[in-house]
Amino acid sequence: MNKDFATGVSSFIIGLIFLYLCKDLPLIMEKHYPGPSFFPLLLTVILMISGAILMYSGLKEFKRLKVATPSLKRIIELIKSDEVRNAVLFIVITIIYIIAIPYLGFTITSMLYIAFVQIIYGVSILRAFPVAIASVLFIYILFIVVLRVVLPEPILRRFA
Amino acid sequence: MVDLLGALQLILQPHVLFAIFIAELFGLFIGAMPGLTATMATALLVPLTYFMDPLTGISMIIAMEAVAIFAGDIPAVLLRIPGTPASAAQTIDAYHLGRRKPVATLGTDLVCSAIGGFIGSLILIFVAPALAEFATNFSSVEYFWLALWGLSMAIVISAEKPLKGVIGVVIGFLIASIGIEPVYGYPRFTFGSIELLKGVSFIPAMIGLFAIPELLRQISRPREKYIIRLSITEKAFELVKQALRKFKLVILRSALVGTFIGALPGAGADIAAWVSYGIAKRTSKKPEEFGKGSLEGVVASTSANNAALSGAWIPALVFGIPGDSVTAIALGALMAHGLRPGPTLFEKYSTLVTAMLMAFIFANAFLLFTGYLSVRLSSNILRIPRNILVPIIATFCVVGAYAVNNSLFDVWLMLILGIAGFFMEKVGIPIPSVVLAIILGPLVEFNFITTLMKSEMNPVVFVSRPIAAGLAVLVAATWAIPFIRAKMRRKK
Repeated sequence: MNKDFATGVSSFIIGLIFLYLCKDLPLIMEKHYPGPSFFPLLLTVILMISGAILMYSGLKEFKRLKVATPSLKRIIELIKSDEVRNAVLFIVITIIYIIAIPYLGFTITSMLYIAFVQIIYGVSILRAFPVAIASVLFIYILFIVVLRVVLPEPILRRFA
Repeated sequence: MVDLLGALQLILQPHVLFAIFIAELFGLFIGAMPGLTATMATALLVPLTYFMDPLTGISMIIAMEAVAIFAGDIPAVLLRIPGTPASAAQTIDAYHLGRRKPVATLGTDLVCSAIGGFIGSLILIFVAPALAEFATNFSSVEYFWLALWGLSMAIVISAEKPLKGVIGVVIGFLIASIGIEPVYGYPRFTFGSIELLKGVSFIPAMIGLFAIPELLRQISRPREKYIIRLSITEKAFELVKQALRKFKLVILRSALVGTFIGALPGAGADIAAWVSYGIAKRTSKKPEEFGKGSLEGVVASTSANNAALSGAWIPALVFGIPGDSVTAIALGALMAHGLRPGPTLFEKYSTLVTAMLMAFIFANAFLLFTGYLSVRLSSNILRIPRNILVPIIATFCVVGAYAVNNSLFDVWLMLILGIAGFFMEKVGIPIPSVVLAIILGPLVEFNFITTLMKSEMNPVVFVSRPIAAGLAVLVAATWAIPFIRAKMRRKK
């Protein structure tokens, strides 16, 4: 898809969302002073105008290249490409990792996360686990022992 | 009166020097890895600085940045891939030179980087306090225009299209507007969440916007690694004498240009390197060698990019307007320690600030040692594959985001902003503009609204003071640049 058009549409939608969110905030206070929604509303208007201009220039580009819309086939090809698949997979694993932290605790979850990401992306198990253990040990020493940061513990330990 | 001895005593504390050294090793590693930038390294380093005194923390950031920018030249010389954007200008020349003498090219690069950084540091030390004294005359109107100028520069310089830069800035402002509103204390866009009441936490946002898009890019080609062998017998400083003798004026000029460009809000080390490279080519006796392995080209851009780092701290410390994205993050770290950048910082904490400025000198002195180490170790660093590196850095991102407030909410925030940042980059919205707006958002809004209130809603107040009017002209001139450029292009 045309980058300008995509940016324009997204900006316009974000603008609409903020426009809706501003409706419950006072715009003008006493003595006609600007209220809490004055500045965000001003920004929203700028965002929507910029979005509309980009949409228009994107549409002009579509017309110039005589492409009505990107074909479904091309979009599917893009989604199936290795680069997109690798990035999406990484996001999904990271989401699972963050969800698991409060249950398994930071140390175990991080070790499993580092090891599994390596294995999924082609590192051998024999190499992945030692790297994971060493990395977590380093983080543990740096943050928990030296800097005394309290990182999440396994949920079961909290009940013990 | 600045207490130089007191500042020297502060910076010479063993734990500060040790922290500088450790930070340089970290910078060396990040800078040498193609794709990992100094900005990302700073975002990862900042959560650590929370647990240190401000001087140690800020010194670490300064030192890490100096080495990372130099280390970015290593893959440029060895692989023709700039390690950081600041190394892009010299990549072709450095690579061609490096094919014949890789270690000697890196050695010359290192010495010129350190000299550039040293000159930039001296300018920072002398200019910043004088400028801070002048800045005490500024009121909310001047600060409003100054912030707007910084944002305008960031938009005009970094965006492929200025309109996308505007969108980036507005998005940053809107992110910054979440939480308690700065004038009336009214909760805004919080959806009833207690975590959002205090606004979007700066550090998780920085880590998300800078590190996550980088990791996503790296993991999309997970098996890529670089294999390089360097000759152990080659002398690192073989070309230095020749470079210093032939190009001493080029180094000096590039360092001055670099510091000046670095001091412009929004223009960082990468632009400084390109401009200095361009000037060197135009004034060179052998311009035909540029692009084919010109030592002059390498020397010019490497002295400029390291000098720009110090330059970027001038507006950051004096006005609270960061010169580049690294200083933007560092400002967040300063504020987290309760130190508000601005002219009063120089009055209230003069010894501490002087010690921070001295950290630049020490960072550049240490650079000669750690840089030499990095030249020798570079082949090992470049051999680490991405599929091992990415999950480790991702874990650091999670810990860093969590450690700021001990909250998993911040980790989610980091991930969401990171994914958003990835898409923003894909469509050409410059991330530094978004970040700059997140930092300057509350400042711009507060000064804008209070100025309007003080003047009983009279907009003329924005240009009624001479400095304010001058800054307003500067903003207008900055916005005129892309239009003039487009018109000139059309004429050609």
